[in-house]
This record gives sequence, structure tokens and C-alpha cells, in this order.
Amino acid sequence: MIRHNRNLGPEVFELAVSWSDARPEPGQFFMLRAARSGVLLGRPISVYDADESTVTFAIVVRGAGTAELAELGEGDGILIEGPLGSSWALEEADPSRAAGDLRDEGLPVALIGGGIGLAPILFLARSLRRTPYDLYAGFRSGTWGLAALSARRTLVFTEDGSAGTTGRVLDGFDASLYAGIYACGPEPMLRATAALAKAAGVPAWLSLERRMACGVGACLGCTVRTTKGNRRACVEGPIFRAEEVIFDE
Amino acid sequence: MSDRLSLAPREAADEPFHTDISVSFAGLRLKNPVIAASGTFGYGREYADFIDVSRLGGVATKGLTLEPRAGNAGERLRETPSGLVNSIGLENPGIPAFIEKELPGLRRLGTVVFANLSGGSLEDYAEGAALLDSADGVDAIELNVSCPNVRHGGMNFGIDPAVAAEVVRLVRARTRKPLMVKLSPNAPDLVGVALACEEAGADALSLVNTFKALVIDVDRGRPVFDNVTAGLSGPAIRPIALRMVWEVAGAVSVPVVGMGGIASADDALEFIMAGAVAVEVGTATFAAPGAMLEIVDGMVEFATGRGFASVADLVGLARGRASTARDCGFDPS
Repeated sequence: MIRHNRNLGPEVFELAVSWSDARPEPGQFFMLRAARSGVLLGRPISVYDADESTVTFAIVVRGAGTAELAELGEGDGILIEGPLGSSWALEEADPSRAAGDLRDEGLPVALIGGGIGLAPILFLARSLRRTPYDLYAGFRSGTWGLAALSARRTLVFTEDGSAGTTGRVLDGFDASLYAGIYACGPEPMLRATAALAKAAGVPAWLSLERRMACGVGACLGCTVRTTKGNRRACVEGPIFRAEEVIFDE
Repeated sequence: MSDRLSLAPREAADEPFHTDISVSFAGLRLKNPVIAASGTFGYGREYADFIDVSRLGGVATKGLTLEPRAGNAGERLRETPSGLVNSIGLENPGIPAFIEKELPGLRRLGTVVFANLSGGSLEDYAEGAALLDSADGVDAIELNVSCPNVRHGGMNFGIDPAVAAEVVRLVRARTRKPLMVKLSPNAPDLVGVALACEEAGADALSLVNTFKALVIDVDRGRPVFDNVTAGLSGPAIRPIALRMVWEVAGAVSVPVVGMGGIASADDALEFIMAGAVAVEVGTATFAAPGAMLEIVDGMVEFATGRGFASVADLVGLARGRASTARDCGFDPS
């Protein structure tokens, strides 16, 4: 059931759903579809925030499925399946730390989000308790979701110059400053992130977006080509090690 | 007309009544007539966390080829009105790896296993059939001559009656397991292909696979899929698939398993009443993992509520006769 649906920013709305089942990890997603719906399948949407009774999504309208979600109001029914997929592998960058406590000294990590790709990045940011992080947030126009974060630095980029620096989120990005890089956004941004991380020798994790039918690994519609062979964005992903992803030319 | 063919609901005062929903055909016995369709249920384990797979009548595996296949590049899915267009391209680990890694778990799920066999050449089909024939835990082979998403093989083997018959004969010679041939709705003469497969030794036929379809991305001015065309499934195809099942069930004497956009018990009953002994359900599972179990429950409720002793008694009901009833243990006399 919908708890609230409110505007977060230009074209982005925040949908809060009653949810007291398995608590999602940062990076995971749910399949969502309005209970009264004219579309066939759920849409894979990353978690933006969660507590013991609510899971919240930041959603941009892309087509008929997300347009229906945008119209939902408090008390409306929703079909929700999850949490699904992998989570941000914080402990891999520093095995001595559990997720959420990556490191409390030394080099910070970089969190990079482009557009609606910020949603799982901001869930990660809120889940970091002691790890210092810099947030790189890229928007087409205007900003959303940047309040009440504990980022060491927040660098805002907009394509139209309406806020922060005019330009793209990776303009001037120096990967060597960080112990790890976590990114979600448009595929060209992720490909560039992977290249910068590799050049600097810094481990990076990317959240990839794919169309999905089942969300549970059965249909093979969301395949990601990796150096280890095909992997499913819905089960082995959506989070992948950057150096394993083979991007389309 | 006998009482059991009456569609009137039973009187409330009637004795408690239980319908036998098991079905038997082609030497197989399924606990109910609902089978997970190939390509929509992985190898069973993918959905095992979401539903009780043992409650299904059967599971058809993702299409298997002798060698591993990576499947198609580029976009693989696009939802269309009441439908799903896919271009997966038979991504699978190859039959030897399937037998070693997937089959043991699939067997333990407690349902009838249909290994869906595809191939790029006649030799591939024959060799694949031989491997599956010798694999414990494969209860039947569903021979796929209907995949529209590969450049070589696949649907090309299911379009022409003579070519289809040749594949079926070759595979028939390599297996004693029940052989069900999955037909393409894209064949110009579907009944001709069906009759040719029956003549060549098929124990059963399943239909339909997806309809060849096209989606264009108007922003890019290009087809969405690298292969240009892809396969349409889902409720959009259901009335056409039903008509095809009706025509094939009326022409052949082997059992027919119907599929195409089934999403509810009533949808499944339409195919059964058209002459199918069982149904496969695919795209509906993507929309709701529990869809198949709801269909089973709904069929039980329908048949029980109307006093049918067996789901088999509903087979071909809409035709005014029980077309393939002998295979279901129904005595039409």
C-alpha cells in the first residue's frame, strides 16, 4: 500500500510503500506495478531508502509503467516483489569492515550518481555510518535528494547550469583520491567511470540498468556481458565490479 | 447429454465432490494440467523461492542446445500492449552442462521435467536428443522447432512440414522418452506441420511458440532488436493461439498441449475445452510468480463446482466431443 507519493524534484517523484518484510540492502531493487494497471509487467526500481516499515523509491517517468506509478496516492494498492539482486559490496574494498562501516580513516570513497541513478547511490550514502565519502551528483536541470547527507563534500553538476557547476558529473573527476568508487547512472557515464577507475587502479562498482521481465533470473532478458561470461542484472547484478563489465561499442 | 457434461453449477446440497485434476498423456502422468512454459521458468530453481514448484504439473526447461550459447546482443525485451516481445536467442549452458549442473536440482523439485531441445543443425538436434535420452530425471523431450530468435535453426525447422518431419524422425530415432514437438504459429500451414510431426513419430504436440513481431524505436529510427524481428507472447496472442490449438487438435490424434497468453484459470479452460489435454503458462509468471498456482486452484474450483469427475472430462468440451479424451483416460461412450 502506498504511504505517500510526493514530488522530489523536476520529473522525479518519491513513492513510499508499506513494507515490513525482508529489509533491502543498499543497491537492491524491487519489481513494482500499480495494483490497478494497464501494463503487463512490473518495473525494476532501485531502493532509495528503507526503514523497518517502509521502502521508498525515487522514480522518473519513462513510459506507461512508471506513469501509472506516478499517479498512485496514499492508500492505493501496489504489486511489489523483492528485495531483488545484489547490493553494493562495501566490504570488498576493505575486508576489515562490514557494510556501512567501510573505513573511518584514510582515503574516502566516491559516490557518483547521474540522474535517476542517484537513487541507489543516496541509499548507500545514508547507510554509511563512519565512512567518509564525497558525493558527485549530476542532473540535467535542478537538484533533488541532497538534503540531510553526511558527505565530506557534495559536488553538484547540472547540464543547464541551474545549480552547481555547469557540466557533467565526471568533469575533472580524480579517481586516485579514493579507496573505492560506487556509481549509478546513464551507461556512457558508467563506462567513463570504469575507465577512470581502471586508469587510477581504484576498485569500482557500478549499478547497471536493464529492462527486465521476471526480475528473478528466469527470462534472461537483462543479460550483462562480463569478462566471466553473461551475467543477469537481476540476480548477479545490478551491482557489478567495473572491470568485469564489457560495454557495448 | 450426460450429467457430467453439463456446465450448470452443482446444487449446494450435493455431496462433497473432488475432481481428479491429474492428467495422463504420451506416457506421462502430471499431477495437474499446468506446465511452466520453456524460457519463462529457467531451470525451476529461479522461482523456487517464490512458489511451491512441486505443485506444478510440469516444468519445461529453457531451450537447450548441444553447445553453450551466449544468446543475442542488444536489447532483449520490450513490453507492448498486453504482450512481451523477446529476443533472448536461446542463451543456455549447453546440454552437457545442463545435465550436470541444473538437472539434479530440477529433479528434486518434484514435478515432471520436459527438457526443451533446440538446435542449429540436424546433427545438433540428434546428438542433443541422445544426451537427454540418457539423462535420468528428464521425463520427456519438448522438441523446439519454433524459436524465432536465432538466425540458424530454431523456427526454420518448424515452418515447412517436410523439414519438421525430418527433425522429428531424427530425434525420434534417438529417444524412447515421450517426445512432444513445440510448434511455431509462424508456419504458413500449421496443421500441415502438425500432421507431419505426428506422422514422423511425435507423441504429443505443444503450441504455440511466440509470434514473429517487430518493434521500432522511433527516437533512434531503428528496430529495437539487433535481429530486427523478435517473438511476441502474452495475452495479446491468446485468441489467435486458441484458434490454432482448436484447428490442430481437430486435425491430429496425438495429444495437444496448448499455450499462448494464458493468465487465468478461465484462459486455461478455454484451451482445454478447445481440445488441449494440458496447458503451458509463461509470460503470466513474469507478471505474477504465483499465476500458475492460481490457475491450478481456479481449474479445480471450476471443475469441482460443476461436478466434473476429472479435468480430462473438459478436454474438447467446446467441440461437442472429447477430442483426445482416450489419452486422458476418459471414456466418451
